[in-house]
Amino acid sequence: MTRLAGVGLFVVGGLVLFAAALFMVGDRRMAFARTFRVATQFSRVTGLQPGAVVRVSGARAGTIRRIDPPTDPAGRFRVELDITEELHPLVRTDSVASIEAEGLVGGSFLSIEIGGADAPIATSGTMLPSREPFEIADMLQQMGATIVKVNATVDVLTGQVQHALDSVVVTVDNANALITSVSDDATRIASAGARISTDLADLTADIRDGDGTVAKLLHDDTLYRRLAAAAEHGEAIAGDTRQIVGDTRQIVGDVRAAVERLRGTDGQVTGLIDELRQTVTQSRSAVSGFADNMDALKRNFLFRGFFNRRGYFDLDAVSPDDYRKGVLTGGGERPAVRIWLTADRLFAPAAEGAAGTPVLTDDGQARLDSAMTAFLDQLPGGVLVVEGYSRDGSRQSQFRTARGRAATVRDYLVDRFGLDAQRSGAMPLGATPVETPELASWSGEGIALAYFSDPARR
Amino acid sequence: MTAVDLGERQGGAAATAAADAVRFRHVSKRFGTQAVLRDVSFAIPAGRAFCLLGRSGTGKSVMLRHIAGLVRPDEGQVLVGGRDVGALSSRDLASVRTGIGFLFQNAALFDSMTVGENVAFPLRRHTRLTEAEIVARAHQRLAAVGLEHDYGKMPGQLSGGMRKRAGLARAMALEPALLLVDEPSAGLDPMTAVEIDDLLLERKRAGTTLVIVTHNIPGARRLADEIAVLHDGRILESGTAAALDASEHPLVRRFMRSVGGG
Amino acid sequence: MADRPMPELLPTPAAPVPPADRIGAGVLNTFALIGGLALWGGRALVEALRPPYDVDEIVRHLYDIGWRSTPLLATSGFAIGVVLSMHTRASLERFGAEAMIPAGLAVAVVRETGPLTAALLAAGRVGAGIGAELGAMRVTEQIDALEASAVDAFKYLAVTRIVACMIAMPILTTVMNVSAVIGGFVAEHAISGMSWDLYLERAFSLIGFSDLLPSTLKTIAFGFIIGVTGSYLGFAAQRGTEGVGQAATRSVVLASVLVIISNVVLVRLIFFFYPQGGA
Ligand SMILES: Nc1ncnc2c1ncn2[C@@H]1O[C@H](COP(=O)(O)OP(=O)(O)OP(=O)(O)O)[C@@H](O)[C@H]1O
Ligand SMILES: [Mg+2]
Repeated sequence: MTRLAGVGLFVVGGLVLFAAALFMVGDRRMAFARTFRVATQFSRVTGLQPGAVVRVSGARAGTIRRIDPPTDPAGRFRVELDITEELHPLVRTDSVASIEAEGLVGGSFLSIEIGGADAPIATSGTMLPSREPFEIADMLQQMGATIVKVNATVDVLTGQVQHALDSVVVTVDNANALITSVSDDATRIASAGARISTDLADLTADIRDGDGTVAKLLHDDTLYRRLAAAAEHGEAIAGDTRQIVGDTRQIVGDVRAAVERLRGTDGQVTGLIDELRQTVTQSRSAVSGFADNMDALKRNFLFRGFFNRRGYFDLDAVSPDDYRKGVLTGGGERPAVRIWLTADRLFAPAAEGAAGTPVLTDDGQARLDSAMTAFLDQLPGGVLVVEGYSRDGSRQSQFRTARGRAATVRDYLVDRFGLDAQRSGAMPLGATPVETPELASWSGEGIALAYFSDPARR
Repeated sequence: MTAVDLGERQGGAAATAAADAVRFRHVSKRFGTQAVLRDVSFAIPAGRAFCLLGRSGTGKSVMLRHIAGLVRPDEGQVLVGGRDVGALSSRDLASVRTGIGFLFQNAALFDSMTVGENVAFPLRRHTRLTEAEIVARAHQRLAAVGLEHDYGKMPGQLSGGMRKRAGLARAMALEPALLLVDEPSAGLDPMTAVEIDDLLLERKRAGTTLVIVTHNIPGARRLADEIAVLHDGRILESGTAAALDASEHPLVRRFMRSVGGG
Repeated sequence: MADRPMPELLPTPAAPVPPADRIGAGVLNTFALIGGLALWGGRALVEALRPPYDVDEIVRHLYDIGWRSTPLLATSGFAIGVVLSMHTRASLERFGAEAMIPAGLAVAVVRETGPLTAALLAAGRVGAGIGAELGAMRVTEQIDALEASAVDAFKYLAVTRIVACMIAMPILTTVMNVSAVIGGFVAEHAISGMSWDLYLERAFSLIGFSDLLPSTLKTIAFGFIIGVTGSYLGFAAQRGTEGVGQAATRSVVLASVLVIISNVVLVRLIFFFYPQGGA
């Protein structure tokens, strides 16, 4: 009998394992999920294959069923795809489809953005609008050009700052009391300029040596956006620097004039000092704007590997699971501060069964504004994640509601406070809070503002 | 009876052929360059005991294998119950074989089964008996060869002589009409050898045809209706023990006078 | 002593040849061997479908061939998983693609490493076992004894083992694959602390039905090869214990080589039917 038992265990166990593996594969391929079929068109399919994954706003949502090539050179490839019913409400007729790379070694996948709330929900057979894929080579070229441009500007401006500083030092030689303060600021300006050029030089060197930064850049699916932002920051820095130089020139001029007046008239010293103080304050604020921009550029540009100690994350790619496990806290280095807000205080009551995005009430907006004041002073450095919660209905509907809430609040905050889209995210967490809400009226319905401060700032 | 007589008898009526349990007709067999059997002819009537003597390596075992259809003759025919075993389809050969019991020279017990299962094996394959009946009968067969206590042992745990006896029990499990026995008393003490001979004698009385390869002359005298001496690929002489005792072949007489050990 | 194998089952051994002709004879012998194996296997397939089915015997061999090989395959699979994980880490780390380790490992294991290693290990353990066991039965006349008891020894001894091999092989491959994935997880968890759920999720991210099904089912062919080779050489064993040892070693060598060669053909065949090979 033991022999029979062994054989039974062997055969049945083997079959069960194999069936489990088949199920896993089928599940991943959404073979068992209810789906609806839509189509889209591209003139280039860059490695997209039937069977490839479809993601709706980053969530695995289905598979490519077939790709029909065009019949004439002017035509486009027709791509048909199945999307799970679970995410159906997010796919609208204006959802844009694009082809993205899963990373250096992974294949291509089709990404579908969440549609506008006003657009009708896509139905079976809808032809979704598409964005043509862009080539990495173009991107690299663009990036290279930006770096060169920023580098050149910074070099030029650094020279000017130095020059201006020299003249300040020379000119204000005699007015010791005032000059100490001014020269401190000026030194900071100069060293800031120097830092920019070394940072950028480091970065270019790293890219040239290929220590992985490039690969990591390529790995990211939103590289294009980042690059655009980087270029913008680069230009802003250049502008800031120009302004600082201008300001410094003006300071120098003012100081010169003051010194003249001190020499000439002997009177009205107090008024002059006030004037000088004001100038210095102006200059300070210019310098701090400059520093912020520099900071943003660094983060933006060097988001993976370059400033490792700041911790890497890409909010769009962080799954709720990873999030729960604390990828953002950087092993406790960056603890989160949470503010809990219940749904009934924030959103207008939705008509029963009405799918779609929740709407913030005026009162809700005011509550959010006041909640945000807690973070405002440290905002540029850290990361703000809006956690969405809902414990109503099936897991799918929990997910949907939670997602809608988080996204609505995040969009509002980005708008209202001009938050950096890269540094704020929406995280649907369903029914289970990450930590116990310190809110008496917490019903499991609502959102939490989680702020992860920047360890580099502390 | 002499070999010449046998040749004459072979030309006789077909009815005699059917009555013969085993008949060799001009059988020749060679292995590579070595001729083992050369034009051998003889017949064994049903119900008789036939003893085969001969020096080691003369082809006695090969002859038994021919009867069981394990070896096919190069020339001539081997008839068992009137059917040419060399020309039978595998199904017909199987039906002939169910009527044959074969004790191999080294017993050839199945290593993967217990002694009892070895004896039960033919019963399981060829009868519709219930499990209990099969076990009971296997026990009975083992008891007949003095192995009543060894049903559950593995063949590797038996002595050579015990293995031989277990092999005999297996060969007799189906109570075959034709029993081929290769050196039944080799490796046995004289007393056990006599007991085995008694067992075979009992079979013979029950009507079984016996073909016995042996070196045990006293045993052969007790059992055999006919004794044949194989030499150099041929049957040198055959006949009753008395006839062979009086043979003019010195070799045959020497054989008959030896006390024998196998 | 053992008789020559039944002439209709086996090619007659070649006569001694002068050394000058040895290469030619070697080639001829190889062809004779392949031909003999093919006939043997073909007959086995026909006989396997024809009643009576010796279910008890098949179960007995499944126990030996399948169940008792499981520990060997499971531990080897685990070790392979650990090692593969370390290797993929070493190469993927360079591209900053550590997240791909589970997927890369799973694809490598499921598509090729699992089936082939499982088959080679089975060729070693099972092939040798069958060759030796049947060789010993041949040499000690047990096969003759079976035939003499009106039992079709080919069917009773060879076919049951071949069928058991064919059943056991895909299961053993699954065991191997599963333990390799577990091994990979243990290694990965030790280094990066990745959770089991996430690991599993990533491991299956690149695997499709076309990876899992054909590569697992092709091992039925491997099982067939192992069973056929082992039983053929076992039946052909020459007299003496030396012959038994020889049957065992030759079974392992021949089965392994045939598995590797047939794998080339099978993989080509799979790519023919599933051109994407992945997706
Ligand atoms: N399968 C075989 N292949 C080659 N030669 C064989 C084979 N079987 C038997 N022989 C040869 O045939 C001859 C007769 O063998 P056999 O076993 O019949 O002898 P035997 O008369 O039974 O001897 P013993 O009394 O020692 O058992 C021997 O020389 C043996 O080498
Ligand atoms: Mg003999």
